[in-house]
Order: sequence, then structure tokens, then C-alpha cells
Amino acid sequence: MHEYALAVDIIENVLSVADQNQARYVNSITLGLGKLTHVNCDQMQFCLETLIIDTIAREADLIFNEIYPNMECECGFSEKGGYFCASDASMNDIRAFFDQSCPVCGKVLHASGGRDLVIQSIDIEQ
Amino acid sequence: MLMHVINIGHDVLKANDKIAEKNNRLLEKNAVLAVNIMGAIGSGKTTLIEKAIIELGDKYRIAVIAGDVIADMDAGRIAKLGVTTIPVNTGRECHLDAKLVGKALKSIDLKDIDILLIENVGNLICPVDYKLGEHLRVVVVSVTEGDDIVLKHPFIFKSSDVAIIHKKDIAEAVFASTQKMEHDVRELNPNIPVMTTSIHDKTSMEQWFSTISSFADKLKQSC
Repeated sequence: MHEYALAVDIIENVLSVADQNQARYVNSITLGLGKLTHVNCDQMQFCLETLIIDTIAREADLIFNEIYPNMECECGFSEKGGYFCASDASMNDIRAFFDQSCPVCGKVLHASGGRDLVIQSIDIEQ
Repeated sequence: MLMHVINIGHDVLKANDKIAEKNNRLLEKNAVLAVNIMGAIGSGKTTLIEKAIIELGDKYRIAVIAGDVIADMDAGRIAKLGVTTIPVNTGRECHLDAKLVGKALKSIDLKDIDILLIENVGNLICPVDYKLGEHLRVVVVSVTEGDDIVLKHPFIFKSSDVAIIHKKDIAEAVFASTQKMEHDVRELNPNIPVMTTSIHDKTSMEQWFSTISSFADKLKQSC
């Protein structure tokens, strides 16, 4: 979907922070990727790899951290979303956070958070 | 050689939300109801907007932001009805974002407007992640997209305030069941009104018009 535009925003931001800190190289870029965004991790990686060519971040490792939503219930139950993901990878998409029943009271759980796409940190060489 | 880690914490998607909040404040200040109309290509978004302008244009002052990837056909169609129409080309993007809408708002005299209809780019996926500052999110699908279109795009139905199943008059010809589509929306989001419409069914179109006008009236009273 809109990975390219988001990747442009990310790299612009990374390079501007690197510049403010007199970086010669960016060694790594760490991103947090919410499970409930529609961002495809592989496509994002491809776009970022393309955009860092010819920049001081060209050698940077791209590190992705998945951010799970919290699954919450009116009854007070709360658990990290990863708990509800099946070990079968085919169901580990966005649908894993739909219509999950509360293990305590049986009501439908609400997914809170997990909509982030955040540049968590960069590792630079000055 | 000095190496160090800089914590950034900049959220690229939330940056859009912040601009959307700014747009919303500007709209509220001028008591303008903003409706974000999302739906697939060919679902009938432009036609529903045209019909709303014709019906509601006497009572409300309407402006339109018409989003398209490249082209201004939709904007041209709408402008013929005599309302302020701002075409927004997203270039290579598959959705409108808050920044584009914020820029378009600058060319509209909001004091002279009651309702702003925003036609999003034809797409059921990308607009979900992008708030524009709207008060009402409307998703439009038509029977011609197949009656499993709702279940294929659950998130847009979960994040919308109104769902429209359009072109019901030709459902039989395309082997689609409007009952199934309506049922699927209710399963995904039991809290939103679902309308099954056709431009040839006056009653169903009146439902669409009264949805817009009731929200516009409510906003006027609260501002």
C-alpha cells in the first residue's frame, strides 16, 4: 500500500536526526511496526533499502520490532496480543486480533494500540 | 570514532493524526461537517456525492474535496453542479492524507460552508490508516464488487461510522446477495448504520441524504 511514502518520511527523519548529530554513518535504524497497521514489513524493508542507497545510512542494518496491541476486556482482563496469535503462521495476520473472546468472561476483546509505525532509534558513527 | 544510539520515537502514522486533529479543529471552529467518503473504484462514490449535492444544496452550503491519483474527472463532474470543488491529486498515493486535506482546506472559505464532502481515492485498504480530520467516515461498496467484498476488507468497516451497500438494483444480474453483504457488515461492526441503496430507489437515497443532514444539524447545534 503506502509503504513507499512512509519509507520516505522515515528516511528523511533519520537523515535529519543523523545530520543534527554530526553523524558520518548510520549503522542501524530500529523501527517499531504495529501489528494493526496495514504496513507490509517486507515491502517496507525493500523501500527503505532502496532509499538508503547513496546516503550515509547505506550500510545501516534495518531492525524491525513488532508492536502487538493489548487485548482488553470490560471485565478488566488485559493481555498482550501475542498471546492470541496461533502458532500456525497463516493466522498471524490482523485477523488474529478480531473477535477474540475474553478467557475470563467470554465477551469480545478490544484491541488497543498496535497502530504505530515509529522510528525507535538510530545507531550512528560520528 | 564515536558511536552512539539516538532514541527518536517519531511515529510516522501519528504525525498524520496530529495534522488531522488540526484540520478537525479548523472545521469545528467554522461549524463545518466533514464527511470522508471511502470505497472501491467504481463503487459509486462520485454519484452519491452528486445526488447529495442536488438534494441538499438548497438547504446547506456544500463544498467538495475530490481525491484522485492522477486526473480530475470526478472534480469536473462535481464542479458542474456549481459547488466549490477542490481536486486533489495524490500522485502515486492510494489514499488522501491529512496534509493534503489541510492544504485543500486553505482554498475553501470555510465560513461559507456547512458541509464538506471528501471523496477519497478508490481503495478499501489504505484510507483506513489515514484520518483526515473528518467527523463522519462513510464506506461505500457496490454489489458489482462481489458479495464477499465486505469480509475481504474488514478493517475499513470496523473503522467507519456508516456503511453503504450500493447499486442494489443490479444485485441479481451480478449474482450478489445484498442480505449477505449487510449481514457481514453487521457482524464486523454491529454499531454502525448500514444502508442498502440504489439511485433508482428514492427511499434509499433519502436515507443517505438524511444521514448527512442529521449530522450537519447536530454539529451546528453543538458549535
